[in-house]
Amino acid sequence: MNLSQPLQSRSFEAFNARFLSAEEVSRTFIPPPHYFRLTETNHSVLIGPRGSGKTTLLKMLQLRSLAAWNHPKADETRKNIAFHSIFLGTDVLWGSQLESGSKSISNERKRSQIRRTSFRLHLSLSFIKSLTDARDSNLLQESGLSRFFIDLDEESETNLSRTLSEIWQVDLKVYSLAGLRAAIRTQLTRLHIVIDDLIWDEGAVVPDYVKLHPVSPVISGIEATNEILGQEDRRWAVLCDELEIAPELIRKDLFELLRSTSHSVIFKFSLFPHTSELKDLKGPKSPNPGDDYQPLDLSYPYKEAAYPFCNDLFNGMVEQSSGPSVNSPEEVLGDGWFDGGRSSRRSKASHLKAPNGQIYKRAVRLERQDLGFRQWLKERGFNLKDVDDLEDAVQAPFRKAIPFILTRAEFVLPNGAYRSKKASSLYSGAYSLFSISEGNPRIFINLMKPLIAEFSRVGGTISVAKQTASIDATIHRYKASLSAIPTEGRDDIQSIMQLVDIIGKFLQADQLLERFRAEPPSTIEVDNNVPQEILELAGRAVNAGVLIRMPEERGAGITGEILSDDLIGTRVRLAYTLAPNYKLPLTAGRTIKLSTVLHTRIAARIRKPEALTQYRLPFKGD
Amino acid sequence: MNWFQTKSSHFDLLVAVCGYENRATHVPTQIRNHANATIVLDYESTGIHSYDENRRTLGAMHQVNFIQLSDAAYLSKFEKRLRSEIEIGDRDKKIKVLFDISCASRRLISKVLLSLDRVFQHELELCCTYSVSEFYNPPEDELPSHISEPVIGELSGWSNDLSQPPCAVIGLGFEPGRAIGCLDYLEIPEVKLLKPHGPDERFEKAVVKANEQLIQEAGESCLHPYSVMDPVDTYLKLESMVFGLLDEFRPVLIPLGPKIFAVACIVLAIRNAPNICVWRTSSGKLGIPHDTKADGNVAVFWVGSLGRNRTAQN
Repeated sequence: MNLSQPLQSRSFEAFNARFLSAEEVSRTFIPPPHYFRLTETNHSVLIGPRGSGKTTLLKMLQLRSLAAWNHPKADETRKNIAFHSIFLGTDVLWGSQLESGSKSISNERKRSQIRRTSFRLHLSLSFIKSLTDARDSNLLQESGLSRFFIDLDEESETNLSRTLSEIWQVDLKVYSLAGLRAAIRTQLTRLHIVIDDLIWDEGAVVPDYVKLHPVSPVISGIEATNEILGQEDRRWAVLCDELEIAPELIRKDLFELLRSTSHSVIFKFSLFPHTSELKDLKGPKSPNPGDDYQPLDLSYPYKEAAYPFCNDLFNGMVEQSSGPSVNSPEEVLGDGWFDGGRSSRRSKASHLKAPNGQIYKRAVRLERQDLGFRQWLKERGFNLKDVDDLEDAVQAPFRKAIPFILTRAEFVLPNGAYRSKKASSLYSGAYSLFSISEGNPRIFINLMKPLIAEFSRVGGTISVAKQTASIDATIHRYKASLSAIPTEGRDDIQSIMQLVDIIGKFLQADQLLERFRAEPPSTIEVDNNVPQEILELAGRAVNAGVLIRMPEERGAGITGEILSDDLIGTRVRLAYTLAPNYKLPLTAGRTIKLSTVLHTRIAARIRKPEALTQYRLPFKGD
Repeated sequence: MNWFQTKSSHFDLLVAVCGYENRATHVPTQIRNHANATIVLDYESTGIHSYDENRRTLGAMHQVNFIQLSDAAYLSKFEKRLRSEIEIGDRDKKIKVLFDISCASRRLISKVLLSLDRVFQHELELCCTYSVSEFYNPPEDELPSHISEPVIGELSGWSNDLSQPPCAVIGLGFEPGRAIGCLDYLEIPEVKLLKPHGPDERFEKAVVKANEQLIQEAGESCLHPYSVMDPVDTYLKLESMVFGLLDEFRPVLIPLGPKIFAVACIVLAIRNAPNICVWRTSSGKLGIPHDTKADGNVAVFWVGSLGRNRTAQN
């Protein structure tokens, strides 16, 4: 057994683009619409929860990725791109190490300097890497990118490394880019020693390089580089991935730079949807979405908006798996109950038509067993046999009720209890699976990988049982991921999963067990009666992608308004990924206040305390 | 040296932990006549499970001192007490300390080991013991682990090169979804899984079941067994594995499962600071307390001193 060489765990690579090479990222890259806006020469902020593909999009702005990209739109993109990217990929480990390692420094100013310096040194290393990438002669062979090639002779390299070392206060032994890189690494190592010194002696003196601004010296270095290269019009884009990981003070520093008008440098950040800095940045220094930067939101409040991207991803995965070619995803995954009427339109057979329409049959089953549904039909004057023949406007309330008719028929027994079956076929089918993925590439790949592998092995349509098994496995992993996110809450709601569970179970009980309504609540308004700690938790849930922010009304803009960081007043829905877990339909409609959901739970606990899990330990712990 | 040999050895100091688990006294009561003094680190879990009985039993130990863990100054009190051992002891001899980690949190183990290293340095002759628990059924579902962070600041590691990917070395436990959830949170692309095997086969089966999806995704080749009862061997395996990773990766040790594996990780990280991060993930106050009983087996890890670049010894 060779213990020292880890085997490539290929399945993990699919979930994390950060450590893939530029060539690996470009090989499987399917561009969502936001990508082409990101290639524009302006400041941009890419907003999306975990797994939404932010890292991939930023990495696809690098020269090497662009050079290796094979796609119908690749040539045009290479031709139009007007900047040379510097990619800085921080990670949770770095953020936690910096936070945890330096938190014992009691002098706040020095602690901030340490954190800023770590960021700056890593950014400097990224800049050197970009310079080195641009010296690769292979770049000359790609006509669309050859203008970015940097031809640096020995004298220029010496001159450049000396100039950068002076700006960055680096003690340089060898005057080359490699020497500069080694010297910056040495500074990073020494920075850890500085931390140790400061922990034990608050008065310890910090070296001068620790006192520099986190970004300005890098910008000065870029401008000096352009001068030495004789390319003063060369544009650089600083790409900071997962900025939420960086210490708060650095995020604020960087956001203020979005107002900058440096000719040489633009910034492109990726960020979680809920970040307090955006809210806190007020006054003349604060950047405005639209004016100072272009916000690009990678969430899909409405499931239909994600379908084209999901379709492209699906085709890309099928192609990669060397499976038989397909004309539509339904060929592989079949039709679904929540496909917005696509299968009905395709087959030209109405699902509402008696006696064999699929929805008609479900509605009849529900009518037999659900008194509330019978009363609703009576009140509205609906006769199930005639619904299909009704005028559109008359039929509309029934159509609105279909998602809830389906879930009640599927999950509620005649005695009013939940049906015990764990897996349900209700969520199979191409567009239901697309909705469940939320257009999030990480979830999509997780969900589709076993199904496409099966398709490439045996062909034909994948069975409902296999689709259901993949949904279950995806949900299991999704819940495990949500459960692992560190949070602080209030009383017995300490974690994202607990908050989600409260919302999910409320909607479940309200939709399935209360008297039938055409449109029971299926979205949540985060209102001002929610305690601050739960608001914070809801913000973390938005960042995790399990609560999806929705515009107030269908069709409302998703740029400036949705970027507003104030959660109060925001309408959210539970990610469709968890819909099967809570027996909810894949639909988003009427809204209920979060405080009402929380109060209902408290009231239920008072009535029946044993029904709710008591998690809290009643004593102190380490 | 196994437990039967160890329990007849003589120790200058016994460090015990008083919590609510029944097994807290299993090792201390067998060593009571072989330790000059005892320091009990006290969780003060009054009224919970076996705590009160444990408190009485440990209170009857020879030359015993209790230090309350709720006291913000507990570490400095602990170190002060350790320094008094130096004054009492024979300066020409190493100071033999037995630390029973069975009921200590990973955080407490880290702090105690660092304190022992700070005070005794190369004069320390440390032995850690772990009382194996009777098997009990694991939780059925994921329990939110809303604490996820470096075990303590001193063992958080340091990233000199962000282009080097992290590699997780995970000691598997039987909590469903915890390991894979932690990996997803840290977005770690490479993983090595260490699967414990011990006296009770049911535990190993429960570990495999709880980590089924992770094992399947990582591949069997990433799965390495280790023996709960042979911590020295485990340490050496871990050391070899981590040294092999250091050239290309930033190693993160995530010791879920039996705490004796956590000790191996913590010792390795102390000896190689700041290159290795030890991570903890916990349900904190959301966890349901379990009155764990000893099954009679005791794993013994003779660590020696904790100074850098020293190897484990039998």
